[in-house]
Amino acid sequence: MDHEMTTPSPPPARERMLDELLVIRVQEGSRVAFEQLVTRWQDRLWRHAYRLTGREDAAWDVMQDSWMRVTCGLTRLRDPSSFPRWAYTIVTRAATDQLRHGDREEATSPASINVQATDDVERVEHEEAVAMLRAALRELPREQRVLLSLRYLESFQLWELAEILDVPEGTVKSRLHHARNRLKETLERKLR
Amino acid sequence: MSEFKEMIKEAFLGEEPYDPSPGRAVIEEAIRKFERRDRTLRFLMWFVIAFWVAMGIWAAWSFWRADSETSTKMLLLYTAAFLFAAQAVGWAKMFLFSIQKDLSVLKELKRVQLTLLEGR
Repeated sequence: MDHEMTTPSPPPARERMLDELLVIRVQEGSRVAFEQLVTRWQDRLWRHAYRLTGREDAAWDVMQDSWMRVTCGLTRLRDPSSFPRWAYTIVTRAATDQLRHGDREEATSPASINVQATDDVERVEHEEAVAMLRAALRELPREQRVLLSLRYLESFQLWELAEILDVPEGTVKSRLHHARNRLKETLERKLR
Repeated sequence: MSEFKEMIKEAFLGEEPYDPSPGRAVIEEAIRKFERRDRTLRFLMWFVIAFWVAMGIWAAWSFWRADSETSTKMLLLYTAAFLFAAQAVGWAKMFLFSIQKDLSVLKELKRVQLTLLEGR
């Protein structure tokens, strides 16, 4: 289950390049480029903020705060290719501040999982497996869920995760290992 | 990526109750902040350059108008002020040009990389 050798596929090179170009144009002062950059990243960063805070309104507050920080710091970003991990670091810090300052509430009840009936048995089985996995992921502690999403959904490398989470790379490795083990245990418990 | 990891990715996708409607307001607020900051920086840049240009003009004018009663010290002060102001304008321009040049070179490099990628 846990083969760290198989790394998640990184985002397409073209997308990365477009982001880098946008960052450079923003540094030149282009308002249009800034709008495009924010629009391209808002969705992904909001999901990260939501996973960290567990609440929609808190995630929006985090996003507002994060964009302010991005606005102030983007001109000082030396390497445009580091924008994704820099942005995720900012959102992580903003969410941590938000949680530290107060009203941490548990996530709202998980959305109901609808598995649509279909003739395709394989598809149904797959949907069921994904739904079970989703339920197991929801049972993980917030930190582990965030780590797994950054690794497998956002495809960050270990050293990038270390930078985003502000911990040594070794710690990221061991946390990932624990997260996967816990996920495995939760799944096995559900299957029994 | 292994199938299990693909499934983790799939499980995460669409998990959050994402409602993009408040997002537009957040984007607009961020753009407003960006524009304000950009305007402030431009104003500061022009203010600094204008200040040193004005200082240079004042020093040159004072030096020009100096008569026999003006002390040597004051003449030296005008000269030093003029030279320093001229230098400061030069430094500011060099600093701004170097940033602009770096960015435009980097932008061209990325454009070429993007063209190569798309042409593949």
